[in-house]
Amino acid sequence: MLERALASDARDVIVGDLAERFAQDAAVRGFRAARWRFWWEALVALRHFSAFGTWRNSLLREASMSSFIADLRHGARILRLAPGFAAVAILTIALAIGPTTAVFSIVDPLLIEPLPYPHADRLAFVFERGQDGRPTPIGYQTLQDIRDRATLLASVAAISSTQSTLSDPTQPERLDGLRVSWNYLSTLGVHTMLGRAFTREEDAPNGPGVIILSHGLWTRRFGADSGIVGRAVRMDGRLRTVVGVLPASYDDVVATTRNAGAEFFVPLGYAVTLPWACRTCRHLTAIARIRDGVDRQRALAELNQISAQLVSAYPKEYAAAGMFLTPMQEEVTRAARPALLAVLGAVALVLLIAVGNVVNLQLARTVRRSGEFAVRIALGAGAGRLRQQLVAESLVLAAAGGSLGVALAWLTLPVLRAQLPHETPRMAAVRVDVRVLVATTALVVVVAIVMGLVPARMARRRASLDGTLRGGGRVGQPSHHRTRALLVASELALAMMLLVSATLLGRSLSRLLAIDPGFEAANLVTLQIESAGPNYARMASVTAYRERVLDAVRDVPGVVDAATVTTLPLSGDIDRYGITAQDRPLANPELAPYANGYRVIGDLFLTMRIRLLEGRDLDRRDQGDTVASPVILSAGLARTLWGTTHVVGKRVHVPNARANWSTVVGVAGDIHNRALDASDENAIYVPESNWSFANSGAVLVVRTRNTSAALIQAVRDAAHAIDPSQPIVGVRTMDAVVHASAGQRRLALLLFGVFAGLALVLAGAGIYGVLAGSVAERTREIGLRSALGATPANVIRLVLNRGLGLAAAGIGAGMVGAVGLTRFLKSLLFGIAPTDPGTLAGAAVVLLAVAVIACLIPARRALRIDPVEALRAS
Amino acid sequence: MDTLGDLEQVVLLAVLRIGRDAYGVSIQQEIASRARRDLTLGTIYKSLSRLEAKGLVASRLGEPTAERGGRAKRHYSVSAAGRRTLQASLSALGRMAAGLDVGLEAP
Repeated sequence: MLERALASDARDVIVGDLAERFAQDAAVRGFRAARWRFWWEALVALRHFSAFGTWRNSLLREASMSSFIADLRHGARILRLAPGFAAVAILTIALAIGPTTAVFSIVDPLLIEPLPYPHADRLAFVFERGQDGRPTPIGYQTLQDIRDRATLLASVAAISSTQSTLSDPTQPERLDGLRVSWNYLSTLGVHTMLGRAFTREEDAPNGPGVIILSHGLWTRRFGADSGIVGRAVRMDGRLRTVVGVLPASYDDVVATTRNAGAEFFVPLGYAVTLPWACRTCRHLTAIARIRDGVDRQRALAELNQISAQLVSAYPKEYAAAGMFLTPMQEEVTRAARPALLAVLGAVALVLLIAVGNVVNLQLARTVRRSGEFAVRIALGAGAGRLRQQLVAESLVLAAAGGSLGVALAWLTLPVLRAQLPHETPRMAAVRVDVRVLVATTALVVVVAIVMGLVPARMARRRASLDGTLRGGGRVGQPSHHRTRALLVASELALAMMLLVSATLLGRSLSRLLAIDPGFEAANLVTLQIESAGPNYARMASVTAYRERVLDAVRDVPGVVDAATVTTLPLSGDIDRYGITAQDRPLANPELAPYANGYRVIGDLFLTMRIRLLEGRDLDRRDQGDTVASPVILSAGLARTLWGTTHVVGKRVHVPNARANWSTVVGVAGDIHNRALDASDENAIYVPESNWSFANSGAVLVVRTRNTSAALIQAVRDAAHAIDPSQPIVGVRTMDAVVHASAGQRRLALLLFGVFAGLALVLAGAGIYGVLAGSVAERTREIGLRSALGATPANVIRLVLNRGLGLAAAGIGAGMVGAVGLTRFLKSLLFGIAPTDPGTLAGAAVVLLAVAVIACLIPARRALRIDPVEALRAS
Repeated sequence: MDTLGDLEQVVLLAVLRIGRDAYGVSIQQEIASRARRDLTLGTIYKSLSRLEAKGLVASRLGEPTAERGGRAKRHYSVSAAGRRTLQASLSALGRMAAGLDVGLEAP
């Protein structure tokens, strides 16, 4: 942008200098300071060397600064004389700027502002291509091969999300963290605030227990103690030495389990010799920094080449050749992007409607003030002076409205932030900051100019001294009526589009939530239980602990049944394994179909009310039976493997199960594992004890008679009492989990609903304004008609005809617009077509009703016109 | 003969001091370290282009370098007229300051 705005002769030299200065500052004084300096430098350079310099100068000649300030004062004075008009205009602008500012505050850090790392555009995720053609995480050996062979990547870091318990006798806390390769921070370009990053030696199997803390954790739990480096903290019962603390500016965007993002960092500690570092152990997230000056496509081409070499060298370890190099920002905002863009579009429509309304108000006022303008022109004011004055008046209005709007945004933003899906990254950066204020100010100025210039054109055209002095300011030229009618009809059209969109989203959400997830979510309480630390080093102690928790919870009055499971459906937590049938061997085991793996203790099927279609349930005797190794498949998985659900007795290979072959003892109904709108119904249920390892965390699922707070607390207390050193977190009802899985749509619906309501009010006010104005102007005509025998019905029809004519035109145009626009909502819709006729008709009826209501007040006023008064006044 | 503004003097002196390698960033740094004035590049270029229009400095386009993202530099040097004007300007200042008991003697 800067380059384009600079005059061509200076461009290269100045931009080059700016870049050089930036690089120096970034090295010496840090990235943030350098960025501020850069913008300041750029602004000054623009002021001196703008390509628009000549244009700017001509503007300044016509309107010198001092006279403009005088105009501003004059504008403020005039507006004080018309408080009703000023109040309505300011409020309208506030109602548009407020939501716009709030939405921009959310959109900016996610979609526009670069991620808070130096040269963040160079950062990308590396994914392998899975059997379904989609990106999948990467295995450690593959990652090492990429590190060795890729010449176009400056560095590649590996991360893996983790959770650990901060072992504190009084206040144990479950924390989200990242296991990172030693070069993680240097790949991102982040420096520690205290201490240092990990060394290569620390990132090895059985390496020293070291840890880096986030600024937030350091402040919250360690009192921002500047002497913390070198001291030990206890995590999961193990002592770890703090080697560094990250700066407050570090904002984690990569952790997949997310409350506040990752709060601690420990070394990954992998080596190719470890069994879980194999090629097919695809569970690592790879972050790459692409070399400066290298195009991403070129880097990707090199990765694809490496992938092809690996596939031919290890044909049984890869399902498909090819890799993905996805820009970091694109990847971390992927989930939120469709909803945010839709909401941004919606708020733009609200803004347009509001601007239409304010311009309309201004036009009406210009008509009334035509006498004033005619006199000014007669006294020698040029068109430019007049324009300047009107823009100044608008600026006063827009500034007042804009300030009110920013205050509104500031007040509502916390509410909005709470509605964002909780996996949204960069939540902390969602606030009304300098960037937002600059953008809002620019917007307010544009609005003010539009608001001022449109009426100014009108004022100049109509302000003939002659007519004014003779006609005493009476008016009625058709051109201004046409403009105002056009504006109101457009507002209605825009309101129609918003209303249709909001309705579509609302119906999508209700259809989505009406879907049977395959289990009964009502009266289910879920809690995350942990078993970390030296007491739970052996798997048997973990399962025994969970059995004890289950027994305790089952004894709580009001509890019907309970089970533990390693991941919860629809929670966003996914644990997938390739399943092979014994009687259908595959040449390449990597092509085995994926199923969501659930490791179970207790009566999961009874507790969640998942239907059992064939065979029997898992029971207590199955735990530890590694000979038969009983498992239950979902009907979907059974059909994928054998094309039928009559599969009891068949055997399958389950990676990580202790037995090589597991026996199918039952077939369960399909459940929605990942999302309500996705049908990946392959699932396999395995007794926890028959797995080759135990995770430290599991989800306790409890069927209760009700979900009263007292009962939930009783369940929590019973579970906690078994081992008070283990924290219990994530207490949620299953209903809440299901609703949260539709979080993105919920947010979009909420905002579209608010915006559509706002649009209706504004459009209604627009119609009202135009009709009220026209009734006032036509007082004499209406009086005359009444005097000549027009009935009240005739008079009402006169007003209604005009109002409903406008409404019909607006609704018609809005329908066309809605059909064109709602295509962009498609990814947010579910089970309903963007052109759903019922929705379109319903929206039209609502708008028509609003139009009728808006017509009634001016119509009543027209009825009350006393013919005698009206004629005498003229 | 032209008279020089304070900013123009500072910029001219900086170009003279640096010699062959005088361009935007180096001039900015020279002024920052000697005169302790934090000028923006835009201000410096504005001044340089005015000086160039008066014929007091000359400039030529240099080679592009990597740390500038492959963009060229513009190198500046003081012309003979520039030296004369600067000299006149400085000695005028010196004469004005001479004899005043405020520690303002010309260097």
